[in-house]
Amino acid sequence: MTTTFPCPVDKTFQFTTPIQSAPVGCYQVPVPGEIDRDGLAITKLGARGWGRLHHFRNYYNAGWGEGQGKPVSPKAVEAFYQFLALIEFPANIKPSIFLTDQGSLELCWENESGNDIQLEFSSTGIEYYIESNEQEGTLGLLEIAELPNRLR
Amino acid sequence: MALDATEEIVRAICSDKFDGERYSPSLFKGENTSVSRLSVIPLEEHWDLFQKNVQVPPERILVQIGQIHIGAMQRVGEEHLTKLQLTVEPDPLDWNPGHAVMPQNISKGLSKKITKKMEKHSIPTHLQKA
Repeated sequence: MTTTFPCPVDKTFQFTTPIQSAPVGCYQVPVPGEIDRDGLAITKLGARGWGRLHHFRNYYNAGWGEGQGKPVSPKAVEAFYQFLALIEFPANIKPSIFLTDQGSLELCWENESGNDIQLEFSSTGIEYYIESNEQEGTLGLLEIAELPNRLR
Repeated sequence: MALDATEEIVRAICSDKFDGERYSPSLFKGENTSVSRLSVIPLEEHWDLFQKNVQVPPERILVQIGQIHIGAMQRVGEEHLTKLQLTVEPDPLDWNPGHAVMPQNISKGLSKKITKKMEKHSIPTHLQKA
């Protein structure tokens, strides 16, 4: 005995409106270069440093702390990223990042000899301190390319 | 009038100034750095006081309290490369009657030395947030 199967019926799903004309969902378009910057920060600072930088930039508004804290200076952030792109930290060293009450970003680590290096990026310049030779000073934001050489 | 050198003072150390490994060299940097007097409010009560008043934004967490004897701190200032006579002046606030300030303009280098000299108290377990 044989059984005849019913003819197949086309039940394929079809869109009621073409995909191309459907409205695109809301999402934030990344600022050009922001993804690259995140990658740079994670590579050079590690997850901890990247997370702290993210916190400082996004949660610390004017008046933070005891009421006098200033938000992070965009110029300081710009200089900070430029420096990260230029510098190679000693192997196995992940620097620490801090926010000052004036809205500057501080970067601290130890060189191969274990001596402290401290940098402070503000809206007007970069303050540096090198423990090994007790050298300290300030560079203008346009002189940032000189900084890695001074730290050697 | 400056406080007596025999007094002990404390400073809140929040997450923006300590990342679990290193302290910010700017913890004491600048003029009128805020401190608090243990002769007015005991250390145990400072935890609650600081948690309620300095954790702004909420992402800024109180992680430690640094304690130092004024006399010991003054010696650090005197022995610094560029000597500085440090004083602590009472400056009571509504939320903290023990509030005081250090009026001198403290450099990053001196700030780092004071930070190193401080005794650090970690937040008691029962006050840590999950």
